[in-house]
Amino acid sequence: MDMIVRTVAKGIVPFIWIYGAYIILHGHITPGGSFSGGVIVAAGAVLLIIAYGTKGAEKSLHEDNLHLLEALAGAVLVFLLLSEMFFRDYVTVLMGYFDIVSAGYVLLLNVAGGVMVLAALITIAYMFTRR
Amino acid sequence: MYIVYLFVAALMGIGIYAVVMKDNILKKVIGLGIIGHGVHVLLVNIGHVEGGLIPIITSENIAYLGMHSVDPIPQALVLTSIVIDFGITVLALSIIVMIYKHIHSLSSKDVGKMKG
Amino acid sequence: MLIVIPIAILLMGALFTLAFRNDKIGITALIASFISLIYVFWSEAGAVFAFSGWEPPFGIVWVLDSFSIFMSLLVMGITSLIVIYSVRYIKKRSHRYYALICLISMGMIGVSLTGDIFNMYVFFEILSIASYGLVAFFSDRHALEGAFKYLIMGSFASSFILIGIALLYGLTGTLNMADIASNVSVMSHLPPIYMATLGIIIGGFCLKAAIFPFHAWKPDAIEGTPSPIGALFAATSSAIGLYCIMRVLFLFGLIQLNWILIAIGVITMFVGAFLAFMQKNITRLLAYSSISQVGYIVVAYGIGNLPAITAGTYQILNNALIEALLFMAFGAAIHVAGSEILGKVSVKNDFLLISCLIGILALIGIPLTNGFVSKWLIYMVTWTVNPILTVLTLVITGFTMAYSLKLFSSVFLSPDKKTIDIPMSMKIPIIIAVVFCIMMGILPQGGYVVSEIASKALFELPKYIGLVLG
Repeated sequence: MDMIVRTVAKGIVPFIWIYGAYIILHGHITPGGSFSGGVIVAAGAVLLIIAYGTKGAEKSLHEDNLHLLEALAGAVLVFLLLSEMFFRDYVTVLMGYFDIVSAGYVLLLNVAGGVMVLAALITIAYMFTRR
Repeated sequence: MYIVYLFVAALMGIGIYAVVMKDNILKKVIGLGIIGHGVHVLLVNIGHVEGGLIPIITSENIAYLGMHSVDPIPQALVLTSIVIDFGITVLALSIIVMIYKHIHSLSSKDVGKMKG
Repeated sequence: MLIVIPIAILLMGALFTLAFRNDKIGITALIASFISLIYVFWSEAGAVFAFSGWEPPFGIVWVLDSFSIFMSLLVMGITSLIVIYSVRYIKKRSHRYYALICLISMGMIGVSLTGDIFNMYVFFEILSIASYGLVAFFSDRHALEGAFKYLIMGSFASSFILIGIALLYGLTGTLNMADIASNVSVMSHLPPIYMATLGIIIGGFCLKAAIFPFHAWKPDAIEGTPSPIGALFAATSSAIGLYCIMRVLFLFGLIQLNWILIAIGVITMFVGAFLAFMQKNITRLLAYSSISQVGYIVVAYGIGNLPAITAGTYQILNNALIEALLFMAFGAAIHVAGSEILGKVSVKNDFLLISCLIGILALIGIPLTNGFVSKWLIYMVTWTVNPILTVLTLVITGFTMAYSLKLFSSVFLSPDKKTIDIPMSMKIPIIIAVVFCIMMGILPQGGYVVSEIASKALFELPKYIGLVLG
């Protein structure tokens, strides 16, 4: 795309990503959480795909890395959900570190879910814009 | 007071009309989305209480909050359902992209004749 | 609390299969989850598992009822047969295939085991979305048309199920199944709004199970899919749909003589059998025959007493085995012959001849096969209600004999045959299915006892409520 579009996109996408990260990380207090924060981060990435084309965006957001990121985030999510049964004493120490007001480890679940959602949505965006 | 149920019925009617009567398959997928949103409005309305309080416990209102607060469960159900409908819409659109590559037409009559 | 392990293994298997593009991970995950599922049921049958320790009316519970255990073991068993069969059948892009099968299995186990009605809807949606993806797997014209029709009708039905769940939540104030049952059972006379809610939910599930007014998606969907997926759809999608219908009727306490279900079942049998005659395509014929067989189950579930529900449950088990056998065997013939039209496929292979013959005899209900046992039970229970029902059922058995013999003679007994050879990994699941068919035909007591234990759980509502809430 045009040079103006590329420069503006390059400049504004970090702010979109910081806003998305804010919504993911504050999911236990404000409305939002993993899904809506993931959608906003993916929207910033879609702006990059539109501005630079699929080949240009793939230099930084390669599709294999996205699949791997999603699988690892899913593994972390499943580990957190199963950890209450098997590693109860370690989990209470973990909850002590991440315990924000009264939310337990909802913060970790939000981050893992947000990473899964953003990886899935960027993969979908690649699939639709590829020829 | 029952105007919300009429609104839900109107949304579902518009959605069903779009799925059944429209020829363009993209419009059918939009109709599916409208039906989904109608159901979400119904779900959120189920939890409504007349003159209800916000369901956040502070130290003053802990005594009477249980009886007078708005129900917080349906909004969680609606969030789950929005994600599910998003997944279905993405899948429907990718199937439409593949159909277009085969027959270069977005009319449902041509889709019905695809097998020959 | 070990019950979460099969679901976790399947989810991890699906994600890692996509990440590393290696189909062995998916196959290992499916076999490992089947083994761990058997181990969990061995050690914890009849347990109630509350997630994260939240107590039953407020949190999500999973109840290992005997009906649930029966359904999930049946579904995972058929999926394991399909996985062994499709190692040689699917060669390209197989990592996506196994990831989708992992997700379908996760959905089916979740639907069977859960004790919370919205959780059942969420897992049913996981199952549906994965199956829309599998129907469109070979992206050719047949598959895409079938997938599009199935998607529109299926998500329409899901919206209706969600409306029913929303109304049920508004009427009873809770989402937990045992709590809904205890709220409904104190009313002696159910107001009409409960009947409307029940009708909406059952109508939605009838579409997913391909029962009479909503069966139109099934032949198109099964025609375009690979043969193992056709087997999975024909065998298990109706089983899961009927499980959900029975679960909702169980919560309302309405497992009794329901003439509406009997009428719908009879019409389904007729429609399936009539339309199966006119088909020229082998997979469409088998799909219509599976619609007809589901009609038998709905008639048996419509007559509500314990012998009838036992007969219906046994028919679900046998129907799953027979449909899996037929689709796999005819699928092997189609795969090697390269065409699906009746008249263009004529093979000469002794193994396929014997296995298809046993499958067709079991479908009709000849003695010494398992189809005979469950059909005989259905004839006996329909005789006690009204002899006309038995006559109708026998007429449909006659139609079944007619179209299946037409299918068999066209594929195996036509004059110009060519000798084919099928690989060993496609023979093994066919051998397993044939052995089960014959064994359960000669010694039916095992299957009957299992079906009776599974069906007794549908008649003990106070015990279920006490188990979860007590």
